Amino acid sequence: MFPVLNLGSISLPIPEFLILIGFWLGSVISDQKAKSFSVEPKLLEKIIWWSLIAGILGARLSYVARFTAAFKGDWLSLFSLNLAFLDSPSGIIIALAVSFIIISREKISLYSILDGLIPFFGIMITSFFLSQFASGNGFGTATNLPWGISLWGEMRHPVQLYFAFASILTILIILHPKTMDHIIPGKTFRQFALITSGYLLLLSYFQITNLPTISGFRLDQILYWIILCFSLFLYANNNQLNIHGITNET
Amino acid sequence: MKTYLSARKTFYSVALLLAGVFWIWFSRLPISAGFQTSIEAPQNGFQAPGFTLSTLEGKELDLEDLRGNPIILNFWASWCPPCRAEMPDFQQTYQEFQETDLQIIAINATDQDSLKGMMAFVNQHNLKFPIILDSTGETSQAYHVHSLPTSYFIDREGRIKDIIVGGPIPLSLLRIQAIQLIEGNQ
Repeated sequence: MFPVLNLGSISLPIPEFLILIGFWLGSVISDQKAKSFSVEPKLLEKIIWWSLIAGILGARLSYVARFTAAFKGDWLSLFSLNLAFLDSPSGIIIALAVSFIIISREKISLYSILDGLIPFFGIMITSFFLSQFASGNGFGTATNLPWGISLWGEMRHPVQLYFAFASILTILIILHPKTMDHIIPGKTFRQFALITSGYLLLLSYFQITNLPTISGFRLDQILYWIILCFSLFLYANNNQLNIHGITNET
Repeated sequence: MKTYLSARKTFYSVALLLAGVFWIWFSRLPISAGFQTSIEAPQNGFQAPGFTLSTLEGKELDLEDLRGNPIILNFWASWCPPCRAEMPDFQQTYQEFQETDLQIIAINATDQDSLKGMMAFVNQHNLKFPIILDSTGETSQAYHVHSLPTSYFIDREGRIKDIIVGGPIPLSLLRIQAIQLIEGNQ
């Protein structure tokens, strides 16, 4: 666990720093690979940055709208950099809405754009798992294996590293030159969704969950299985989703 | 040929989904084991590690005795500028929510602080909520406090609902966290 790096009087929060690194690296690699997916790099940059800005602003405004009375006498805190002042679900919805608006203005297949964003998503997911490892969140079940790490009074699976490794492997597979041959719109997205939901379902066995269970069945695994179903449905059908309508190609 | 490939695709898809169902069944938790969230860990969603520490008055305070109350736990030291900056807001929150069952507890990292300096600060700001002394640093270790201040927001069941590392925490955020803990909807 490495939650903080103390540099003199400055404490650098490692988990947040890793997310920032992931964001930057993901944007760079998405830019580089964009042409392979027949997408302009500038369009992907526009989607990523405008969604981020809209998401953060939306999350802040939603939070303030929910708890306006609490800011009485402390209005300056509206501009606080504290990340706790964000309503994440609202921020995500607003970010998705802004992405959709930007995409709908372009005469380009949604699947092509999704393919172009996969390197960004893949690296963000990797940095998320690494930040979880740094913070100690999402920790693993107890183990006697030699690579177990001591955490919260027990030797545990470094499950966050398992996830990060699987995520890196996924990116390497889908961006491999052989895989990138004969790209049809949507192929990369479908592959990514399928592999990701698969390893999430598999590796979550080694993770302690703080979500409720239903008769012992883990909610997180049920969710991953549903995503796997959906991914398989998309993978099994060679549909091309065009933003201006749906066309079938078999 | 097309039908054969389609049938093979369907077979593998169904096999994969059934394997997933089997894996979910295999991974299920024993119902008698209860929630995994009963594990003690200083992380969101898990039980706050217990402790018994002395107050400034020399009495003992056991976290377990406060089970059933929403709790704001703040690790601090008098040499730490953001800790000093946010203490008046903790005091104001304490006063605003005095009629409720909210508990605000400040754990002083006494192993790395001056008792004299700490007492002077407490008296200067007339802090009325319990100040307890982590003389050995064991509680800070149990909570993996790597940076001061660090605040934990604990619900009535003793589960950590939020953690804020660093400060000063704005007064509005303290109020919001207090309301959410009291209403039980974090």
